Amino acid sequence: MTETRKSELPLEARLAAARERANPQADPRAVAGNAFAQGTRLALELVAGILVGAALGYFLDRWLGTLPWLSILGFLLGLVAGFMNLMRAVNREAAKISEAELAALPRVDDHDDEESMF
Amino acid sequence: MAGPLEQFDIKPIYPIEVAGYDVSFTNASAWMIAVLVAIWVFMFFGMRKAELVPGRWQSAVEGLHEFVVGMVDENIGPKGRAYVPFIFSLFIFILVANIAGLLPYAFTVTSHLAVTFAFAAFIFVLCILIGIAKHGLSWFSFFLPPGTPWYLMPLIIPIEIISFLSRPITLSVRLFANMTAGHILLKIFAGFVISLGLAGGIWAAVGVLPFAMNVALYALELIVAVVQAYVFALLTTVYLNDSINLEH
Repeated sequence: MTETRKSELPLEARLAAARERANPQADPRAVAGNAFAQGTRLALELVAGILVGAALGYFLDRWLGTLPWLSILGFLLGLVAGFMNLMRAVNREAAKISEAELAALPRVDDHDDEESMF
Repeated sequence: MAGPLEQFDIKPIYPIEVAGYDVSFTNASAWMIAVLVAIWVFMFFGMRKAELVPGRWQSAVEGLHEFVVGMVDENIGPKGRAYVPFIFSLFIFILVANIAGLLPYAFTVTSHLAVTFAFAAFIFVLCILIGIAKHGLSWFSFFLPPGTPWYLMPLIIPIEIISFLSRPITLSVRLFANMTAGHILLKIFAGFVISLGLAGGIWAAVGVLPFAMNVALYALELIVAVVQAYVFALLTTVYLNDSINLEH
């Protein structure tokens, strides 16, 4: 038992080192910048949906002379559309993260010139 | 000392008027041309003697291109190859304009909503035209997610249309807001350094704090400049994908 464990340990260590080499840790500053960009992006999705919905409702109101009913309807629909945009954006990110997790699995170093530019 | 918003002023360099419209050659135009020249120099001299084993400069050009091709392949698939030149031009222009804006005395082209919204509106119209050209009128089924029950259609279709119309707004405001906010912050902290330094004595020593803050902000702004160019190009590919491969 102890024999196999001893031989397993260096393998684990080597695997970890290989993983580290294949997928180096991201720079924390880059991670913070990315998170900041994400945050402003998601906040904007919600606001833009509401603005577009309300503006659309308002112009329809002015055209049809039904102020304020279509504005209110447009505002509410815009709110829903904003949340839907938000949900889609988050889902897209979530899909990317699970892809990144898949990519984080140990893999063989790629020595192909075409692919390893950066 | 200049106010924090003065850096965004558009000043005419050579006044031109066409049919009553002011189309002067401004500092914004000058910086756009400077950005284009910088891109041209980078691309042309990088690829002038294209070698099988690339040197450093050629590697940089090719790496940037590979990066955009990878992004397009990942988001659009094989049909997206035709759009690589467009996405690449968009990405490199915004990237270089963002970074050039960080130079001292520079004018940040992308800190103007007029510029970013012109890009976003063009992409918006392009998405509609490509969608109709590729799928005909069936492209409008884009506004109706498959599997929607009939009684929800009057609700879902307006929501989808609003969601689609909000795309150019989010796309343009994101870039504009990020660049403007960052540059205002830089200017305000730089202003603190000057006024504390002029106050003299112990205050001049305190001035080291906003100076350190400015150095840190500069690093952040450099990341923001790259990330925002990337996000803009990425979302353009995502939107184009919706028009090219009609799916949800």
